[in-house]
Amino acid sequence: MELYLRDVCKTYKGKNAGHDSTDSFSMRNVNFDLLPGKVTLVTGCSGSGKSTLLSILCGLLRPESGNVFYGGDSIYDRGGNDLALLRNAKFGIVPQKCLLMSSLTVRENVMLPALYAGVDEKKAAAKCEELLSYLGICSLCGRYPRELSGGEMRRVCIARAMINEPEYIFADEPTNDLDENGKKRVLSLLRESAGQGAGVLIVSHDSYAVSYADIKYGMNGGRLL
Amino acid sequence: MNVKLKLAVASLKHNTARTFYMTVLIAVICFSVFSGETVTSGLCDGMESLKKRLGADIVVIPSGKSRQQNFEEILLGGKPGFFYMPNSVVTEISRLDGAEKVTAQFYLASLTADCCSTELQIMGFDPESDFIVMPWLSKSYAKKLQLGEVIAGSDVFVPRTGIIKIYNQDMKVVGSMDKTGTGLDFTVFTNTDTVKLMLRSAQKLGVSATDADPDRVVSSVMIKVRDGFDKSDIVDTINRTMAGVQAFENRDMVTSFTSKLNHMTLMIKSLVGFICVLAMIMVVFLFSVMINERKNEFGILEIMGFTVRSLLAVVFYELVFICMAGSLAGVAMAAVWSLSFKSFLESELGVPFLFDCSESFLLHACVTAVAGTILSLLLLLPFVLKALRTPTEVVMRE
Repeated sequence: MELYLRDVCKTYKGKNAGHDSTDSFSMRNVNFDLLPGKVTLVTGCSGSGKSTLLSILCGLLRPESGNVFYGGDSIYDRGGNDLALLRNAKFGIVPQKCLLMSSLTVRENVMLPALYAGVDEKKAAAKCEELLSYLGICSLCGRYPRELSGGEMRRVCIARAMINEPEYIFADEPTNDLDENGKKRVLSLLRESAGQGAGVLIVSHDSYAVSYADIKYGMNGGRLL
Repeated sequence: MNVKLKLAVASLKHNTARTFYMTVLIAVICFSVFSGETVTSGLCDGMESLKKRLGADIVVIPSGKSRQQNFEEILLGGKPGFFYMPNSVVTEISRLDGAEKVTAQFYLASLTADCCSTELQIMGFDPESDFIVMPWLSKSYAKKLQLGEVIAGSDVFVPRTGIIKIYNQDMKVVGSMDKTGTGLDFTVFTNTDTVKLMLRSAQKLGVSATDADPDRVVSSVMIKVRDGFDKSDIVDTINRTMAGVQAFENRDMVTSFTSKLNHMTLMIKSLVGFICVLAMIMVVFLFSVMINERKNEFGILEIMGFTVRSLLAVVFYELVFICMAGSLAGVAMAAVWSLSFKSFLESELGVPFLFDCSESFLLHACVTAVAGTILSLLLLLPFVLKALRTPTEVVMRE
């Protein structure tokens, strides 16, 4: 099902030197379609609104105006629970900050969204094994997040986002903290997912990602270029 | 196992220090509440039991500054003692208008010597006129006590033979009393003829502190006032017209203990309140710090598609484990403490203390544990709800 946003605006409160609050636009009347089977790359400098676009599109940040549509229906008109379940079943999100559950091992972290979705534990474990192997971190599956490097955590986040074989993948700076080999593995995996029909949105300012993208956008001052 | 439950257990196991401190603090609250409650209810039950056992409206004993104190010590403190006054007092009091029932009691203290099994208080009553002892004594022994037969208070040590020696007289123990939490638990009850037999024997042995003729003395006279008569008027009449005796209302004696009891329960409740408030502040502080640190975790779970209800369930399970473990540990420790210090509390508090070890104690323990769990949950859940209101997008960027 298609995912797109229409006429979306989002404002953040900004602070100037005089400590007065002023409105600062993060997104202005943005229209965007995330196409299934394609890798879409959005680049831009810091503060241009890339991450805001991603958060709004995946249902984590409600826009002030405009709407996000999935299968023709506004996702923000769904109840909180429905939206959460949509995220769990259809979306895979790789946040900019590597966030993992500190009390769970790598394997448990990756399997968690699948188990929550009700997937059989054996199936989830097999998929987890496959993803970790692809990303070259299979040997880390019994470790806890505190024992991992930044790059390893990044790859675990990517594996976790893909465990439920989502329809749409949202990756915010997925190549941060990774060496060249790591970047290659991660981007190849995203590319492969798109090849299998998933719509992939990569938000990055890493030029390495450009060669893996089918569609490229730039963002500046809250506008999509 | 359910994913949410698994997450909760993993979090508890992973953060052992956090789990431990929270559990300990909740245990401290439940320990304070339950042990405080045990002591205060023990005091109240003891006082109730005392009121029931006193039975009479007015007590008459020999005059003298320390006599009333002796009397209270015999009845409440379990300190053996005796005093006597002429038995003509009984006849005089019986003639008073308003005295519905009158009965005399005869006190004797045994010794820690070869002639006696142990130091005991002996209380003799007149089976013909008694209205104080017999009503509750009949629960232990329904028959009429014969010469040489006694009924032992609940804390009197009775040898297997069932015979205790008092001034070289073998006394057959035919029954044991229920616990009262008063000095009566250390007392042996019998009829006046048997007490007189003991006193004569003591005098023969030369170990008696009195040479009073047992047939001419009594220790106290108990009066039940007829309806419509003023107790204080009768007390005044006795104190004014009868030499060598003093009368007082039983209520006065209980009043002094009630005020002591009120003072003590207030102190205990204040202490319990102080400890609870302090522990609650610490629990809330610790939990609010902990929950703020966990905003990231909630954000991760929301990103994965956990609903707010599921997030609540995860934290709820954790809290239930912590609160339940803390409450049970606190109540169990309080129960062990109460049972271990039972005799100390009974003997050292200086007021009647009745410790109930029956099913109601267990029920009370369970209720405290459940209430502790529920109240701790109610105390901490607002912090969880506040943390869950943090937008996930903010967490993603922080």
